[in-house]
Amino acid sequence: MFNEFLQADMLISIFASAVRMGTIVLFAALGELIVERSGVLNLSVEGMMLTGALAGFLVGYFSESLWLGVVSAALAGMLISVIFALLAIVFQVDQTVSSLTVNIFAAGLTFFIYRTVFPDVGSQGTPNLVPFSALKIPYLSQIPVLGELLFSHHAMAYIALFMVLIIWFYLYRTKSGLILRTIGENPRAVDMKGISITLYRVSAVLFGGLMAGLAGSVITLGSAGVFVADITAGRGWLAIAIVIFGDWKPGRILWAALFFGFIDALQMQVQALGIKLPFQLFLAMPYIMTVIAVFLGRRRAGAPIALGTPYVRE
Amino acid sequence: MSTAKSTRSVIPKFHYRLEKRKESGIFASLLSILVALICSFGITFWVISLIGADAGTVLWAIVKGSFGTKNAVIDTLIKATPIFITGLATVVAFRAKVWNIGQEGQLYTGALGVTWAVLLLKDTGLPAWIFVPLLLVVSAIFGALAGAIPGVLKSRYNVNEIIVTVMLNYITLYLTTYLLGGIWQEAGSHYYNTIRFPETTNLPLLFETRLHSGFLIALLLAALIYYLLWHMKLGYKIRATGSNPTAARFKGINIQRISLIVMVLSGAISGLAGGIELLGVHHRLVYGFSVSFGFTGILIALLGRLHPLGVAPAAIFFGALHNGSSAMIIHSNVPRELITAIMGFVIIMLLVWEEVFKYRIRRVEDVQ
Amino acid sequence: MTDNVVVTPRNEAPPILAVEHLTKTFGSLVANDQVSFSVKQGHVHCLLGENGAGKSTLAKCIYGASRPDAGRIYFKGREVAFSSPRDAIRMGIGMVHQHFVLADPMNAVENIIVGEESTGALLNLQAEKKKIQALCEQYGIVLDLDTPVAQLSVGQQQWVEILKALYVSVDLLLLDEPTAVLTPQEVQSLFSIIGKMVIDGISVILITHKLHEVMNISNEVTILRKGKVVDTVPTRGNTKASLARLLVGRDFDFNVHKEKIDFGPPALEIKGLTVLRDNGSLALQDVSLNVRQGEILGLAGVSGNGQAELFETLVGVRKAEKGKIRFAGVEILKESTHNPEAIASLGLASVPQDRLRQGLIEEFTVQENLILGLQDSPSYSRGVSLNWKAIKSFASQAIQQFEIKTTGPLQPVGQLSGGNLQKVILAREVSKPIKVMVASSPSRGLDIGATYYVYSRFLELLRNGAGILMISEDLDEIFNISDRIAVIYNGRIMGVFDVHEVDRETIGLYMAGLEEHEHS
Repeated sequence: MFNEFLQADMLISIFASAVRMGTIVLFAALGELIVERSGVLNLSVEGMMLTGALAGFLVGYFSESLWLGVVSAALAGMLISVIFALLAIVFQVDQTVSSLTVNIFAAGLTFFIYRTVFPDVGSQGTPNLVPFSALKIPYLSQIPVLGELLFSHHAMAYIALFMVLIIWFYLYRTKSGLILRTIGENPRAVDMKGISITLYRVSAVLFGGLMAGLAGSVITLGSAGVFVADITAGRGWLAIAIVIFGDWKPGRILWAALFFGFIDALQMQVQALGIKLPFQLFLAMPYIMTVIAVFLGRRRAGAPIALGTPYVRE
Repeated sequence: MSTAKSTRSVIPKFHYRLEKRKESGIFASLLSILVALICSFGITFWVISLIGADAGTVLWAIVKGSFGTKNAVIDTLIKATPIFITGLATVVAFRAKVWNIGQEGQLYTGALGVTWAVLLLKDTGLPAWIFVPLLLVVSAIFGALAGAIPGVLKSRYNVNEIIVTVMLNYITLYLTTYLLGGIWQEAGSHYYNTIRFPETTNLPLLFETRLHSGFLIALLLAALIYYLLWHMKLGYKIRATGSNPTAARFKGINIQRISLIVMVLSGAISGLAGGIELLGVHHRLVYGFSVSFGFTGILIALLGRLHPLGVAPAAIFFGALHNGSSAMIIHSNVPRELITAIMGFVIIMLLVWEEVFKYRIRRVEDVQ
Repeated sequence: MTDNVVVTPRNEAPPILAVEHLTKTFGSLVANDQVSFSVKQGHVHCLLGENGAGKSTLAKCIYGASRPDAGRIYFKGREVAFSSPRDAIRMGIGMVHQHFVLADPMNAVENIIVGEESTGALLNLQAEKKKIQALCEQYGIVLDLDTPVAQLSVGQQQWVEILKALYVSVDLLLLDEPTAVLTPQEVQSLFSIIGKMVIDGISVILITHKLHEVMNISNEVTILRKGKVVDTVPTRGNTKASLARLLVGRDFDFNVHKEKIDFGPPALEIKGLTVLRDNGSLALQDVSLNVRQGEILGLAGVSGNGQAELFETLVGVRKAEKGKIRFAGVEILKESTHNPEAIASLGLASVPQDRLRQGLIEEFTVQENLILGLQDSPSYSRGVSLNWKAIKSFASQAIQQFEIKTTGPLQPVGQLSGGNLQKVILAREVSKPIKVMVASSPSRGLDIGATYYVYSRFLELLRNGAGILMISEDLDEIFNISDRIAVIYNGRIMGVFDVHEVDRETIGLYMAGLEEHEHS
C-alpha cells in the first residue's frame, strides 16, 4: 500500500493539490501580513473569509460569472472589515474583542443571508455552481512533473502566487510600504512626519478584508462550488498561524502556506487510499499542525513591535 | 500683559474641544446600552421588512413564543442554561484578559467525559444522588483538562491561546465524531449518537416541569463567580492581571500561574455546561447537541459586560430569542439565523456607543 | 524685561524664530507661562532650565507636535500655526527628540527616508544610501547605514536622528537634551557637527540643563524656570556662575531640614551585580552598593543607564546574571526568594518610576490599590476571601493619614492626580514594617507641598531604622535629602560620595561619565 502511495504520479498529484489548497490560505495570510505589519492584530480573518465565500458564491451563482463573484467576494470582505476598522482603530476598542465580535457577526450574517436567499435548502438539494477549472498554460503545462505541479491550476492560484511578489515589492520597495512597516514598529516616527496613522491602519485592514474575501471566494468558486455554514472551517485562523510561522515575511509565508496546503492535500489522498487509521485523524491534521506551527513560531523575532497596540498621541 | 488682559475681557473667545474620558460613568454606560438596543431593534425591524415579512407580527411572535405561556418561559430558561454557563466561563477568562475561545471544545470534552463515565458505570446500579453529582464533577474535570492544554502552552511557552483554543474546538469535534461513529455508536443507529443514558443520570426536574436543575446550578454558579471575582483573593488577582499585568507582576502576583488557573477554571465551567446539557436535556451524547453554545457564551459574556450579573439577563434574553425564533419561523419566512446576526450587531452597537459616550464636549476659553 | 525680547535688535540679522507670549497648560499644570524669546539666524540658541522647567513642552509647541493654548510663533518673519510636525518640517524646522523615535528592526537609511516626499513612490534605496553617505561625509558622521538601528549604540542612534533632520535640509534644528545619552567623545563630535551646521546657515536650538554645554557652544541663552522665561542673555559676557544664579533663582535653599540620625549596619548590600536588558545587552556591570539603616543613598544618573533594571532586579521581576544581594539577612538572588512576593515579605517597599504602569491599577479603586500585593496578608483576608471591612477601614485611615484627595475608598485611582497617586503608593508601601525602601524619582511631577510630604515620610522611615535607596535624575532631589550619593553611568557605579563632600558640578561630571571616582 505504501509502495502505491509513494508512486511518482501520486506524489505529483499531492503536490499539485497542495498548491491549490495553499492558495486559499495564501490570500488570507498575505492580507493579514499587511494588516499586522501596520501594527493591527486582526483576528477576524475567519469572519471576513466567510463573508467573501458567501458573496462570491451568491454573485457567481446568480450572475453565472465566476469573475464577478470573485470581485464581489473581495468587496464583501472589505465591507465587513470596515466594521473591524471602526471598532479597533477609530474607537480603539480592544483588538481581540473587536475581532471576536466581527467573527460572530459575520458567522450569523452569512448564514442568515444564505437562508434568506435559499429558504428551501435541504428539501430541494444544495444550490451549486461549476467552479473554476484548471487553466492549463499552453506548452508549459505539458512539461512532465512541473507542468502539473505549477502550470495546471485555476486562475486564482496564479494570482495568489503573483500576489506574493506584489506584496514583497510593496513592503520593501515602495515609499508607502516603508511607511506601513514603520507604523508597525514605531507609529510615532511616522506621526511626527504628519502622516495619518489611522488612515494607514484603516487602509491596511480594508486590504486585509479584501484579501480574506478573495480567499473565501477561492473556497466556494475555486473548489467547493457550494456554500455551507462554517465552510471556511478555521482556515482564517490558519492564515493567522501562517503569518506567525512565516515570521511576518512574504517569502516564508508562501512556503508555510504551501506546507499547509500539502497537509490538506495529503489528508485527502491518504483518505482516498483507505489507510486504516480513523479518517477523523486526517481531518484534524491541519488543526493539529496549526497548533504545532504557533508553538514553533512562538519565538519568531519578526513580530512588529507595535502589534496589537492602539496608537495614542501623547 | 495688561493689554492682553483687556482684550480678553472685551471679546470673550472660546472654542469647543472634544475630549475623551478614560471611563464612562454609570449613567453614560446605561445610556449606551439603551441606545445600542434601540439601534439594533431598528435594524432588525428594517431587515425583517426588507425580507418582505411584517416586522410587527414577527417580533410579536418571538415575544409570545418565548414568554407567552408557562411552557414557553420554561423552554426559554432551558435554552438559556448552557449559554448562561459558557458565558460565565468566558467572564472568568476574559476578566484576566486570557482569551479563551475554546468553550465549544471544552463543552464537548465535558460531554465526552460524562459519556465515558456513564458507559463505564451504567451497570453498577449507582443511585442517582451519587451518580448525577459524580458525572457533573467528571464533566468539569474533563473540561478543566481541555482548558489546561492552551493554559500550559500560554503560561509556560507564551503561545497565543486564541489560535490554540480555536484549533482545539475543531480537533475535539473530530474526536467526538470518531467516537460516535465507532465504539460509542448505538447499535443499529445510522446517526452519530450513543445509547440513552440510564434514568439514574437524569438531572432532577424543578417545580414538576421540564425545567431541569441545571438552571439552578447556573444561577448558583453566577453567584459563585461574582463572589470569586469581587470577594476572593484569587478573583482580585485575576482582575489585577487582566487590568494591568505589569503592576500585578511588580507587586508579586504570578501572572503566568493566574493565566493557567483561569484557563483551567474556564474550561471546567464550560465542561460542566456540556455535562448539564446532556444530563438535563438529551440524556445521550448526540452529534450537534451543542448549537454553538460555546460561541454564544462569548457573545453573551460580551453583552453582559463581563459581569456575572450581566450575563444572567443576557443569557435569558438570548434563550428567549432562540426559543421565540421557532415561533418566528412558523409565522414568517424569516430564517432562524437572523437571531445570531442580530446579536452580533447588538455587540457592535454596544461597543461603538460605549466609546461614543466616553466623549464629551468641553468649552475651552482662549487665553489671548 | 522679557517684553523687549521680541523686538529685533537693530543692525543684526532678523530672528529666524520668534515666540511671543506662548502659554501651554496640561490640566492645572502650567507648563509654559507667557513664554517669549527669539532665535537669530545662524545662531546656536540654548534653552536652559532644570527638569520640569517646560523646555520640552516649548520645543514641541514650536515643532507642531503640541498645540499652544495661547501665544504666537513667527518663523522666517511669518506667523505660523502648525497643526502637525509635517507643517513644521515643510517650513524647514527639524527636531531631535530626547527619546529617539526610531523603528528598531530597520536600518538607518529606512529610518531616515520614511515618509519623506522627496523619495517618490518607488524607493531607490541605493541612491538614497548614497545621498545619506554624502551627508555623513559632509558633517563628519561615522555610521553603519545597513545595520538595524536597534543594534547601533545610543550615540549612533542620535546620528540617525540628526541625519533625519539634515536629510530634509532644515533651517532650524531643535535638539532636546541631545547629550544626555552620549559619551564625552560623542558629545565632542556632536558639537563639531553643530558647528558645521551653523556654517551652513542652519540655526540650532539646544535644550539642555548643563551649564558647560551652554558655555561651550551657544551664542545666546534663554533661561526657563517653572515654565517662565527668566531672561535671554548672550553667552559671551556670562559665566557658568552667573547663568547658574539665573537658573536656580531664589529656590536654591529648597532644603529639607534633616535631624541627625545615626546610621546602623547595612540594610541592603549589593555585590558585583550584573544584569542584562531584555535585548541581551548589559544593563548593569559589577554594581556594588550598600544602604545603611537610617540613611538615604541617592543614586544619581541620567535615565537609561541601568537604573530601571536595578529597580526591577531589587523588587524581583528581573533576573540577575551575576552577583549577590543581601537583604534582611537573606541572599535574595536565590531561586526561592527572587520573586516580588518573597522580597516584599522580607520588608522591601518600592515606589516605581512609572506609577500608573508599574505601581497601580487604573481601573481599581483606591482601596483595591491600597492592598495590591498585600491581598494575601491576614490583615486583609480571611481564608480564601478578602476582608472588605478591614480593607475599607485601612483605606479610610490611609486616606486621612496621607491626606489623599479623593471622593473616598471606592473612587477609581485613575481619576486621581499625580501627587495623590504617589500618596496611595506610599500609604500602601509603608503600611507594613519595612527594612528598605527603593524609590524611583519619588517627587517627579509633584508640587512642592506633595514633595515635602513624601520627603517627610521618608525621614520617618529613617527614624524607624529603615534604609532608603532613592533613584533619581533630579539633582535637586538627590542633594536635598540624600546622605550619600552614588552615581551610575552606563551600568556602572562611577563613585559614591558623602553629600557634604561633593558639589553638583562634580556629580554632573560623573553622571556624564566624564570622570570615574576611585573607590574601594
